[in-house]
Amino acid sequence: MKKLILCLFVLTALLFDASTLGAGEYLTYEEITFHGRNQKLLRDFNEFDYNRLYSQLGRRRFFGWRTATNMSNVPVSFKKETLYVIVNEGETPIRQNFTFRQSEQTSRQISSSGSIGLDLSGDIRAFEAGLESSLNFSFETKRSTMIEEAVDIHIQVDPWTRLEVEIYGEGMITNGVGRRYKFFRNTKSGGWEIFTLQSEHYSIVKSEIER
Amino acid sequence: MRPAVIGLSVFLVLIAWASLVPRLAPHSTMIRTVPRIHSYLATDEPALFSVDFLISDPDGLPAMEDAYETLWIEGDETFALDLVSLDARGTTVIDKVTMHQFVLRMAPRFHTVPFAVQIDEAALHARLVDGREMVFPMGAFSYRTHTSHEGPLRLEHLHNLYGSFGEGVTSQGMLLGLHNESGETLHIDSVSLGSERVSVHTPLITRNATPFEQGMDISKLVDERNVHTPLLEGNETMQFAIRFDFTTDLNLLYRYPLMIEYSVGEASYAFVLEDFMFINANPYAMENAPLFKEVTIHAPASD
Repeated sequence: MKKLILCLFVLTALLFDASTLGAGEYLTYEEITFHGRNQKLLRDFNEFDYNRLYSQLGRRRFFGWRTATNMSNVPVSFKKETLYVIVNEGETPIRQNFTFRQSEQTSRQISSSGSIGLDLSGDIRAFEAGLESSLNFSFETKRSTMIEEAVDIHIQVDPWTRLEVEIYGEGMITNGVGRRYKFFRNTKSGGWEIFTLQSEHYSIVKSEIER
Repeated sequence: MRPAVIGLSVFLVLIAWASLVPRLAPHSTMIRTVPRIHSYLATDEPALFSVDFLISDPDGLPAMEDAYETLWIEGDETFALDLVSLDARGTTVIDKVTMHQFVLRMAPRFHTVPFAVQIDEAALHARLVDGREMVFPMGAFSYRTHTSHEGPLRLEHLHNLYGSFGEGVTSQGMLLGLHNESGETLHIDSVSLGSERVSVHTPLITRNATPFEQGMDISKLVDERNVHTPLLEGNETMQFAIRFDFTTDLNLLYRYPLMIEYSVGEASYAFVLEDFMFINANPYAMENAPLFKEVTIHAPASD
């Protein structure tokens, strides 16, 4: 019975291990599109991806991290959100004034899976247990924010028309897996991902509404 | 025994001195800004505008709204401004120094109708309560008023086309969907962004059948050129891909107005979008480092 409980406990831990994902804001975007083949976000990694990357880690270490990179600074496009919607179901045009304000956001966002956690204690998000220093990339150590702007728009919306203000953008994804060892024992393992936000583009799109 | 005690004392004094020296050294405040193309168009009300900067000392006077006594833009003439707000905007790191970002929002006192000014190398001046004067290099500045004269031209969509500037990105064009509501031919006479430093590359490129694309790199347009006389037949909808020509080395452009002058028969009209943020990028990203300019502070003149 004890063995069965132990097995169930280990199985539960493994399942939890595979599904946990510390998420950056970019994972809430409506769409993220890669331009090349066989490119994917950490959240879309399957068991085969993890096993393929873990096999590249090499031998156990006495102490510290072993990491393998899946993609390095791969460009992505995204649709972040529909910021504003005006619907005119009347028979006369309306002249609409509206203001939108971008909220503060970090230009570098991170996510993790498995038992690799995120350190959220300060105002700078980082991977816990010093994973970042073992990655062979130079990342900014502090957050930098996009300029926050309030924009007033005066625009005419024709009868039976829907107007939307949408945010699209460009960024770069770097991801991979890692394992941490203590006295040759594997104490943490999972995936890591860094999203670098480059720019956001605003669009106005009008469409007809069916009467 | 005594030499050991003396040696230890000297060592401790040296340690204390080494730890105190950085604190005793004079602390100089670093202030940086990124000049760009500022273009403002006002129709009914004065257009508000903004200048952002980074400062290493978030507790210094330049980071306090109440410290600003007077503000003006200097070109051939002096244009007085009212401070609307000073807003904090997070931090960024430059040369291992944490810099704090602020935005000065201002309203023009010089707004009259009609009004037009273009200054190619404008500087924002601010006098602080302690008498010092700050000078922010702004880049190209234009402010003009325009009366909208609405006709049958309707905006269907508007989308930024970005391109590289150094290692960063900037707006270098737009996709513009237009619809002619009238039954007659509509001629587009001019498309303007308000600044004389940016003009619209003509002839316009049409992309009639191409579906709307997101976040489009302007370099992808190269193979899709299709020279076209800018006109819309009666009740026609057309998409134009517009490139900008910059007549300045500084082509950092994020937010600007759009003005389309057009005619139908003998009648002339103007479509005006006073202000739109086409691109939201961090001007202080390290790829823009060559563009950073120092904001200078001058001591008050002694009588």
